[in-house]
Order: sequence, then C-alpha cells, then structure tokens
Amino acid sequence: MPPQINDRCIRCGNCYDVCPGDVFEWPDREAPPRVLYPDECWHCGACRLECPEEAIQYVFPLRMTHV
Amino acid sequence: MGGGLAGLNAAIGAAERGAEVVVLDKGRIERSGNIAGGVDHFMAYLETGEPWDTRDAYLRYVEQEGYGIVDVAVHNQVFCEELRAAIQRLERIGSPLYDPKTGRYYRTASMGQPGPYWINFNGKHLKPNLAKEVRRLGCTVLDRVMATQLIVSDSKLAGVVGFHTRTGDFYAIECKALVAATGNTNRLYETPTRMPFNTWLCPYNTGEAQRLALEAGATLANMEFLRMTIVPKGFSAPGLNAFTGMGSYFVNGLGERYMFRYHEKGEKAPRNWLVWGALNELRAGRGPLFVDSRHLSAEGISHLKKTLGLDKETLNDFLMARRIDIEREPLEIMVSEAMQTGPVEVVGSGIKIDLNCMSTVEGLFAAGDCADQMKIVHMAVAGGYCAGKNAAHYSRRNPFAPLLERQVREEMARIVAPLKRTEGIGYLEVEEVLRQIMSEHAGPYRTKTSLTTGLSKIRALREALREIKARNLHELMRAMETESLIKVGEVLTEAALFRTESRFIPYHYREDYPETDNLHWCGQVLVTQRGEKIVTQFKPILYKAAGERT
Repeated sequence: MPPQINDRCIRCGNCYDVCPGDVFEWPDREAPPRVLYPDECWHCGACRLECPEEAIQYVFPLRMTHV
Repeated sequence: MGGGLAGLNAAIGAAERGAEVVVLDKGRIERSGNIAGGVDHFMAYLETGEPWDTRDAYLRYVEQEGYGIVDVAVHNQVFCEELRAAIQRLERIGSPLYDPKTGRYYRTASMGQPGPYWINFNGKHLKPNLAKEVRRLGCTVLDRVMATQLIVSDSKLAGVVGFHTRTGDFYAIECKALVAATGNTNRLYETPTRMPFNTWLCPYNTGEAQRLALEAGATLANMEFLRMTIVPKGFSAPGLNAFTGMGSYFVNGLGERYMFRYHEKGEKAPRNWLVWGALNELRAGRGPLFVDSRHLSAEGISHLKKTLGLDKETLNDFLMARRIDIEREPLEIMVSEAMQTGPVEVVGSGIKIDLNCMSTVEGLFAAGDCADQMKIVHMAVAGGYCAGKNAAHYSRRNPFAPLLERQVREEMARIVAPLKRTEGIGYLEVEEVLRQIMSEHAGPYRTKTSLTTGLSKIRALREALREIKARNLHELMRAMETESLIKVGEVLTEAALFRTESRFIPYHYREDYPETDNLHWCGQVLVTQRGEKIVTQFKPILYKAAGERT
C-alpha cells in the first residue's frame, strides 16, 4: 500500500485534496484519510509534499522493490 | 480543459488579456498532471554568445530531431517567440530556472543536443506557484471536474460538458474558445511491472483531449508514434536525463558499454536510440542492463542525487528501499511501458495546431502534450501561454455559438449510464484487455498483419463499453477514461497501419517496412473521424534544407 499515514496526522485533509489520482477517501473527518485505491497510486509524492506534519511515508510493493 | 503545466500557462495568458477564464481539472490544479510532484529540467537556448546557443542553432536541432513530422514555423511561433517571456514568468511566480543561491543556470546536454540545452532547476513547487497565480488573476477554477464532451454548433466550438468526480454535479459551460490541454495518453500499454499505474508519465492522463477533439471534428496528427524510455528496474520513474546529462554509462550483463554500437553519441544519443539499444541488447540475451555512475566526480554524484529527487519526488526513497547507492554500484534499468506522445523532445502528437495554436475546429485551441507541435516542460510553459493568449484574442472577436440543451441532456444521460447498471464489466477488465491488444499488436515491433489484427480486436472491445459499470463516481471517472483509451488506441493503430515506413525507431518500427523513407513519408499522417470511421491521409512537410537526416 503506497502512501501510509502515521499518527502525526492532524486531519487537515491536504492529501485527500491534492491527490491527482483520487486514491484517498475521507469519510470520517475525525480520522485520517484512507487509501482506497492503492493500486492506482503513481508514487508522485504530491500528498507527502503537501502534508504539513510529515505524516506520510511511501511503502513500495514487492513488485517494485524485488523484481 | 486540463489544469496541468500547459493549461495553467494558458489560463494566465488568457486572463492577463482580460478574458473570463474557467479552468477544468480532474485533479486539483496545485498538484495535477505530469509534474504534480515536481520537475527538474527545462529546455532552452539562452543566447550567451556560444554558436549553439542561438535561436537558429536551436531550430536546426529541432528540424534534425523532428525531421519528417515537425513544423518548424509553428515551433518557432509557439515556442521561440514566447521563450523570453516564459523564463521571466517562471522567475516572477517564484520558480526561477537559475539557482537562487548563485543566480546561475546549471546546464547539461543529452538527447543529441549540440550544446547543453537542458537547464536543471528546482521545479518542486512549480505547480502550486502557477496555481496561486491563476487564482490571483481571478480565474474560476473547477477542480475535480472531468470534461466528457465538446459541443460544436455551426462548425464552431460552443462549449464543454463534464461532471464533478466527487459530488456528481454536472457542468455545461458555454465558451467562445477552449484550450485543450490534458496531456498525452498513458495506461495504453502493459507495464513491465504489471502495475498499470506504475507509469513514466502521469497515469491519470488518458487522452481525453485527443478523443473529445476528434469527436468534435478536429484533426489529429503524429498519432502513430508511441514512446518508451529507460527507467530504474521496478519503478517507471523519470530521471534518465539526469543520468545521461551527467555522463553516466549504460552497461550490459557482460559489463560492456553498449550504446556506441547503436549511435555515435553513445549515452548522449536521442532517447529513441537509447531504447533501441536496450531492446536489442535484451533480445540478444546480453541483459540485465545497468546505468553506471561510479566514475562521476563527488560533485557530479551529489548534483545527480539532488536532481533525481526533484524530477521524481519519491525516487530516492525507492532507491533506498532497493538498497541501491548509485555512488557505489550500478543501478539496474529496464525499458518502460509504451505510451502515446510525441516521439522526440521537440515534436508532439495529438491535436493538429496552426501558428495560433488553433485546431481545425474554430474556437478550439490545443497546448502541451496533447498538441501535435508541442512537447514537454519548455513547450507547455511557452506554448501554453501562447494558446491562452490567442484564445483570448479569438474570443474578443467572435460571438458565442449556441450551446444546445438537447446535446447537453444527451451527454448527461450517457455519462450516468455506467452508474445505473447493476450488472456489467468493471473498467479495469476492459482496460487490461486493451493493454494486451496494444502491446501484442501495436507495440514497438509492428507489421500490417499485427496492426490489422489489433484493429479488429479494438473495435470488438468497443462493444464492451456498453456494458461498463461503475459503483461510484471514482469508478465512473475511470470508465470515462477507458473510453478515451480505446479511442486513442484505435487511432494510433490506424495511423501506424497507414504509415508504411519506419521512423524514430522503435517508436514507429514497421518490421515489414524497416527503412525510413524520406522520399514518400516526409510529412504527417492526419486523422479525422467521420461517423464512427477513422480516416487517415498524408500531408507532406517541406524543409528548406531538404535531404537525408544525418
């Protein structure tokens, strides 16, 4: 699952706002956004660039790191 | 239509001339399109007094690289005439091309350039800076709105219809002029990692402008060419320019520097030759292939690492995850997926434009990677602005064409159909089939038989669109994208069948016509649509200095 949101998240929703692929959902505004379409992530880094709290890390799938 | 690099520069060009501007984007303009996560290079001549650093020398390079399909007069008008203003604009909005600390340009050469035309710069915040300027100028920005149809009446552009991908609201916008700027087409071919969104360019750019313009009566050109590049094994990320620009070597499994077998400039050859070299080495069983940077100076390595992170925000994270240090060991590389886009850095593929960036439909303009004479960052910035400026000028002189409610209602009914189906096929399954057809029949090795077989399969697949279902608005957006992908796939294959020669090998390599034939094929394949039929014709291009490419 590409972007992972850690507990530094302040629920600002920037990642949900800017993702060019619309891969996040954010049904509960009290909780962090969730990655609904991990297979559609481009790994562009937009969510991490716009995150004010360094709450996003990229975790690459095996198909990318081990081929 | 499209709020990427070209679209935002077009919006600025139009708004600065007093036009009322609406920007449509499937994403959010601060981070959408090919440079959503940043960019690191811009091609330019700077007139420093060096013989290669002039407009004339640059245009000679453009003609040589794009020979056969580049229109040098259009290139001069939409790029060279706008370059100085483009460089100043980037500085003004806060993303200068020079190093802010030293005030100097960091320039490198690759891709067959006669001198260092690439300017390395920090474009990490180029998109948000442009978006800020667009909003400051008072443009109406409709983020998350996907355009699905252009409306034409009395042969003039009348408007555009689309829907909001998160609220489901419909939009029908009357406009005197529209700049189409939705980029190239990705997700058209299988990727080497079998991950359809692990693509070199933005996987959310799916050829909407090409389909919508074609269906509105516009002519497309240069559509037969696909493009591939060299990427790190496992990650279809940009960064090749940075390696070849700094002087890294490509080596095969035997440790040989193989590129000089294929081109006298070695690793500094045009991109198609780098791909051709890699494909041949792999076919001959001399893989795996690597890019070796160990011989670079400490300063060179440090600049390279910095640049890689600017071109692809997550590339250095990826290298760490693979436990690769390019300073100490070679990095394994692969040939990327294919895509629809112009075959070289200086000529595009898509909507045919004239000297004013207007298509063959009055009021419809095009800019950036979806236009036949624009390509990549430098032309999106300069040419995008040019298109916006001319669209504003056109809209001052022309009245609105009537936007018929009947057409809008029909399109609204068509858009919601996939949401209403309780049974049917998901977009992913249809796309996977398309990618297999394109890869097997219209890839880098093509013949008449492969292309005609592919065409009949693509046409049969079109029937599946009637059964495509979407469970939510996100899937509806993807289903609409699938429709564009099928159309672009059909056009690309039809145009590739028509051009019975090879050019920019392996971007259009006809195994049954392996030679470049400048006597008969120096010119563009033009594509139009009549009813459901795709029609191809040839338009010659004459060059002042006629002759074979060297």
